[in-house]
Amino acid sequence: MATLLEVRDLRTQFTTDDGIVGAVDGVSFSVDSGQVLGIVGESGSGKSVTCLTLMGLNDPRSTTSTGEVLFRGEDLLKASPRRLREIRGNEIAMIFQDPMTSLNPVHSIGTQLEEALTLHENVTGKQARARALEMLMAVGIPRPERRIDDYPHQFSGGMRQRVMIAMALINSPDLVIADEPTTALDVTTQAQILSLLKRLQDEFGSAIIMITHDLGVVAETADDVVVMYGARIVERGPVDAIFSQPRHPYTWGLMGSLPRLDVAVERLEQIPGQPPSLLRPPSGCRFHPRCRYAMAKCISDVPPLEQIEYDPRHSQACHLDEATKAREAAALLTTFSEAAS
Amino acid sequence: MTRRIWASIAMTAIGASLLAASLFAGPAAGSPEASAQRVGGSLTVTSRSDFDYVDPSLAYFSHSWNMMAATNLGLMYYPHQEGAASTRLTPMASQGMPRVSSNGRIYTFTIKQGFRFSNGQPVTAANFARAFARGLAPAMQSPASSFLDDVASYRAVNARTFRVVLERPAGDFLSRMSMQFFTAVPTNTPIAAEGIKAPVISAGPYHIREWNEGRSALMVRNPHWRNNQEPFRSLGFRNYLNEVRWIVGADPATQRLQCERGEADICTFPPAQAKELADQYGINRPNGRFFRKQQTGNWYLAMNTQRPLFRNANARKAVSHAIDRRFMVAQHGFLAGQRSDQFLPLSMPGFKQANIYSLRGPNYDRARQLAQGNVGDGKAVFYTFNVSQGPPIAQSVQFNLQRIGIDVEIRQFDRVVQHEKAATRGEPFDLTLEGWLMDYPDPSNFINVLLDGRRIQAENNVNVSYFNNAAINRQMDRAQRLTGQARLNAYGNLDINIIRNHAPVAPYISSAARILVSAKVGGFKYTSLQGTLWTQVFARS
Amino acid sequence: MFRYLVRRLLWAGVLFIAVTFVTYIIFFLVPANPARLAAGQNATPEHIASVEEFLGLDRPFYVQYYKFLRRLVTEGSLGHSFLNRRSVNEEIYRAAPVTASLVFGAMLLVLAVSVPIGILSALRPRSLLDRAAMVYVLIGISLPSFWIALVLSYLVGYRLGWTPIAGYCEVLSVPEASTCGGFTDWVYHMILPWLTLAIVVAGTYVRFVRAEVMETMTQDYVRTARAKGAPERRVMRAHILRNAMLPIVTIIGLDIGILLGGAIFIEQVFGLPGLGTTAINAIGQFDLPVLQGVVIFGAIAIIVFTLIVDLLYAWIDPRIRLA
Repeated sequence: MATLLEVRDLRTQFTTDDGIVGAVDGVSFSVDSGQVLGIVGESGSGKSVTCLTLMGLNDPRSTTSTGEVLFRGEDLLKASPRRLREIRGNEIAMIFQDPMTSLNPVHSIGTQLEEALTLHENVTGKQARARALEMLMAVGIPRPERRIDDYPHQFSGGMRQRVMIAMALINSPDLVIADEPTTALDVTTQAQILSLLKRLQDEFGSAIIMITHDLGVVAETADDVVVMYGARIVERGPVDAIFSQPRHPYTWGLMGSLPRLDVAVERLEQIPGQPPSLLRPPSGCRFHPRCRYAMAKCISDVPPLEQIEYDPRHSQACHLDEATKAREAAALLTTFSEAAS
Repeated sequence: MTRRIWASIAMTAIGASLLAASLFAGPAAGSPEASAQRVGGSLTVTSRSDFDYVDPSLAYFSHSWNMMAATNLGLMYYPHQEGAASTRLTPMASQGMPRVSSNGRIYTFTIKQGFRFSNGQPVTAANFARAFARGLAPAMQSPASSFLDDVASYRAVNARTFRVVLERPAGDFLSRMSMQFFTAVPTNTPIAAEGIKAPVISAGPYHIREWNEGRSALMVRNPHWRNNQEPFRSLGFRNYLNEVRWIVGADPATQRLQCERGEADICTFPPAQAKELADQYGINRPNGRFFRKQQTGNWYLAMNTQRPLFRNANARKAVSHAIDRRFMVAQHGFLAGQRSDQFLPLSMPGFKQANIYSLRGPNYDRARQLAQGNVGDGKAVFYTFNVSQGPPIAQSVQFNLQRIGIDVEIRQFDRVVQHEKAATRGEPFDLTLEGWLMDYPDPSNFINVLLDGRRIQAENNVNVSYFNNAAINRQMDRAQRLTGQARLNAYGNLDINIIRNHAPVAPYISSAARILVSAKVGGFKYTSLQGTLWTQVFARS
Repeated sequence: MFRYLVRRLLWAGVLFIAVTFVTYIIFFLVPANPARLAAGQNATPEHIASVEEFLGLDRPFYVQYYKFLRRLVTEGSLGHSFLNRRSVNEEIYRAAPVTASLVFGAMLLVLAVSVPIGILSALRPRSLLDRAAMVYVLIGISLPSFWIALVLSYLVGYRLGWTPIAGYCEVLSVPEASTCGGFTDWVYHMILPWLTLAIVVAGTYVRFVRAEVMETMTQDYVRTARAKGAPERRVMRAHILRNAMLPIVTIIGLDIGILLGGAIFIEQVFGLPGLGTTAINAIGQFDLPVLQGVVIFGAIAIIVFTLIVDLLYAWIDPRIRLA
């Protein structure tokens, strides 16, 4: 599998009236063709900004980005606006969180679908419409010929998200970035959308970056996982490794607070505290104010993102020794399996 | 003088500056026949408001009459000349003065031959009969009917003879015949309340070819007016201009700019700009552009003689001594008139100068003497209008009267409302501010109309002093029956008598008009009665 | 849709009655007698009485109002002027196009100027252009229209002589009495009036466009459009402006409706024989039928334009369904 996208030490800063906000602070990861990468984190962890930066969709007047974003070897951060426009919606497509507001209310969905196509391909109106109908069919909208001229407000949330997906996939992009695609939907619809995405991914062969705060989504869909906290990556690795051997207190917190249907858990464990301010972030490890295991070293030294000895695909950034981490992880998972039995 | 007066008053209140007459510049202040006058050309007049009608039986605005003086042919007219000549009633279509019966009730006019309407039809007696018929027809609702009150009958005896029988002798009947209501109209002119529209068929030197209501009007030469033949030539004027256009609508400030730029030739201007224009162009220069012309009109304080305060003549005289005429005249603006304490305007035939009250400033000593014990509780209500000179004059009078023991309360109204209220008998006011412009240059138009107590009615009064003195009424009647110089003497004396001994009104100004023209206007004449004399105007080449 | 229209028309009828009735009442509260004004000052009581009868003023005002309504409904006639007995319908027909040409021309100018400036201001907030635009807006909103009109006619018309000082020219069927006529003359004379009205109105529109565009720019669907690879031009046109301009339709429609009642000051200064001038003259001379005619026309204009705007809005914004 070829490396499709490689992100190296990406940093993005916003200039605001209050000061400079470092929304992405040294993030590196890669995505292979056809693969699904899940990026997990809370609101404000920098996951969305990372992907907006990839696409060059930040406000150029108040944003600066450094690092490298190599898409098939081409650095997108240095690409001309024209090149970026060529790529967007064509080679890299994005699906946004809120389908209510992400579709233009005064254009029919047919028009918006066709727009996605005609921006990049020289097709006739008829061809565009035919293709749009195909896509609507593909995303599972019944009787698309009847609905193609309807307006977004005439669709339910789930339907709209399907339209967004159709719009993203209509040009068979190599990479699809899905920013919390199911957060705004109810659980049942959520499941439908996720399975749709999975199916389409197989059909079209696109890689997906799935941004979510929900570990459950990641567990279902991702091949690899990146856990972000406070604009940095705290843990990174294949999904089975992350779930079987989580190696960061934040990841443990996320897993502990997962609601599970198969297990009767008395109380969801919360991660105490608030997400860090990115304007004046905590020193050292940004998680230390909320970490049960925090030591003096965590306040003074930034823990580097290091590969785990026994599994070079899996990296983590925590000062705790491996032994302690293994023990804590095991204990956590036991809780789950005990509860399950 | 009915609707015409309030339109003129309204114009005075917002600044009436009308049309200018200047004599053609030349070594001789030439007579109209001087060969240097240019025949042809056209001029443009701007006007704040439109003509009310072009129908002679209905029109009453002064600028409508100004236009009609050039387009219509009456039995009598006041010559289109400046100065004293313009006050002598002269036959126009009538062959000499009419024959009057010994009892003074029957007037027989002989119509000159040769006058023709603009469509070529000859003018006959029937045309004047038609004017009378329209004036009296209920369907026309014409203001003329008020002036035909005392007409018992009228008839076109034959093509050249027109006879009118009055119910009683009236010394002003012939003057009335100079009004536009009684000019010749084609016999088939319809009797309909909306009145006729342009093109108008008329018998004067010009006729109205086009009238775009609210916008513009065009007056052109009557093709059948032969200047060099009789009966036209002896009238002493000609139609120099080819055409005259009226453009209606812009406000005075804009009009002034248009005249200065040559976009228009004869314009009004805001009264406050009079001084500036006088400084710039001089006043009444030959070849000039800014003129001051005497008007036969006045403004005065009327004192309500039916209310306790001013029932007493001494109280009224006290007021006339106490007011500051100099200040009051100044409120009308630069060159707006001359100080006067008499009721007849200075230019009215019959006016006799008498120095009765102070023209310099208040004479408090004399005023207090007369006021002593005669002003009752000393409280007075003053109705004034709320624009231009209304408020400052009221305040000035209030100030003056306070010093002689009269406490004045000022009430301001919209001009039309003030006028209406004061005209209602029983309205609770003691003082009001009024003005009057003549209908025709005969003193009865002021004295009989405005001070005859027998004409007082419930509403719509012009005698807003509600003055009713039997002796004075008899003198008015006697003067009304006189003619010629005797008439003028009688009225001149009556004016002095009324003001000196009864003082129902305290006049303070004899009005003047201020006029601006463009550089294109070569020569003009203007009279108080007619305004611009179109038959004397020509355009500079 | 049909039911909606019927309801709107019924409501329009109610408004119409209310407006005309109030005009009548106000008129009759003023202590001036139009019959006397029409009859003339020297008139005898009998003459005045006959004029009153002729004008119908001897009846109580509710009778007069009823007659007025009946005549309007059965004959479509607004009656005749008290002053010069002309048909009020005709006066309105003659004056309305003048006002309409002033209003529509000025609104075009307003749009042409305020939309680009508003957009540029929104795109570059707090830039020099934006600040200059806001200062201009404040000035334009604050200066009285007649002052602007007088200053322009003096400076541009009189001093510089670039345009005529005042006056109105007919475009078609130019009467002989006019001093100008034809399309070029008409435009030439309308330049200053258009400019004056545009200055007065444009300020509000610049602010409005700026606010709308700024708000629309932050919408998610704009980001989606960019994410699809749309060039900025297309994003601006099809996504930002297409949405931001919607509310402007409402405002323009309302403004046009209101202004058609007569931009009085501007018409006065420039000598335009439109509805504003007609109304002022009617007020000054207590000419009720003409005044009533102008009021009615103004009311109808507002009602019609409000309706047009609502329908138009429903057409261009698919989210609106006429209930």
